Amino acid sequence: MADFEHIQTQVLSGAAADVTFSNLGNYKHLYLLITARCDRAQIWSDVFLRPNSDAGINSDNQRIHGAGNTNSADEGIGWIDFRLGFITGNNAPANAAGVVEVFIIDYKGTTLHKGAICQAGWTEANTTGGQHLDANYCQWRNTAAITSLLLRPTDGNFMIGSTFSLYGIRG
Amino acid sequence: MPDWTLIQSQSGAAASFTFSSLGSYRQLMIIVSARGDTAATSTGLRLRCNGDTGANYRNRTLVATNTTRTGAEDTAATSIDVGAIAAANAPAGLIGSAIIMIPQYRNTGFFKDIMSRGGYKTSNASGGTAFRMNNGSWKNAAAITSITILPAAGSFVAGTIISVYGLS
Repeated sequence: MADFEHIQTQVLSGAAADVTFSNLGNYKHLYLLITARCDRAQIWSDVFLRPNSDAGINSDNQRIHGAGNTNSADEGIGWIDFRLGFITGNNAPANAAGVVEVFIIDYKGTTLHKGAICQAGWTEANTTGGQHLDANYCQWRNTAAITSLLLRPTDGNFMIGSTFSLYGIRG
Repeated sequence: MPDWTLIQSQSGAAASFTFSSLGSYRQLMIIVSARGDTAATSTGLRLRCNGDTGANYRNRTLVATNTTRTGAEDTAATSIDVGAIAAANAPAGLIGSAIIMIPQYRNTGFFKDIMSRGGYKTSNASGGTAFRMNNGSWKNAAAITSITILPAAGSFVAGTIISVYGLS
């Protein structure tokens, strides 16, 4: 039995305001890999993740970001969603997407809170300084098992062809 | 994506977790979700190879908290810094998390470099969430045959889980 298994891939055949995974299987950890672009009229969009559709302000995140030879950091405290990282918006160069990798650790645990470790990259422009890197850490203030994942952009829609692959890791 | 094989998961309250049957893979990957019991808001997450408690490790760490980025270096540590975890003085439930990679752990020609990334929380307020990246080296060319993961102070509490995988 493989210990790293594909659970589900969703490839958008049309624009979608959100994407949900509601069958998370029986694993110890989850691995999510996203390649996506958003149709909002900006060069970028966040990708947010909401565990169990929890609409309370129960998520915190810390980000570090680099572009060209600059770097920065910022936090999000008491947010509704995990901030996974940026992808491209509709003002980014044509065909450029963003990629986001997420580990969700011990998602079925019921003793402690849940953490996610994320890395993302996206292209703002095909010039110096146009390539971006994000690394994020998120925690959900809840000891409940995570049973669903809701993914959404900052606003607008994920564009056609955006792909969301979820894997289960045994432990 | 390499083929992953679960070597072992250990969980619960313990002073440390040792994995001493590491199989015959090319690389190791370790996934950690943990909290400590020491009387502080956080404590370090450490790793030792082959039970070596000597000052035979080097560390380089980058930490981001809100808009502040800091770095640290230790050239003669007694363990590798692989992250940090919430501890007893942090609000209930808070944790630390880490993904640790040990490439070529059975190689006998080079010292062993170990990379990790993750984060931890010390409070639910501004400045209470941190992102961390670490790179460390065990100054020994021997194959790694066991790994011990421990908090810098105190013990792990119930709810802690550490999973070790072999990658082909």
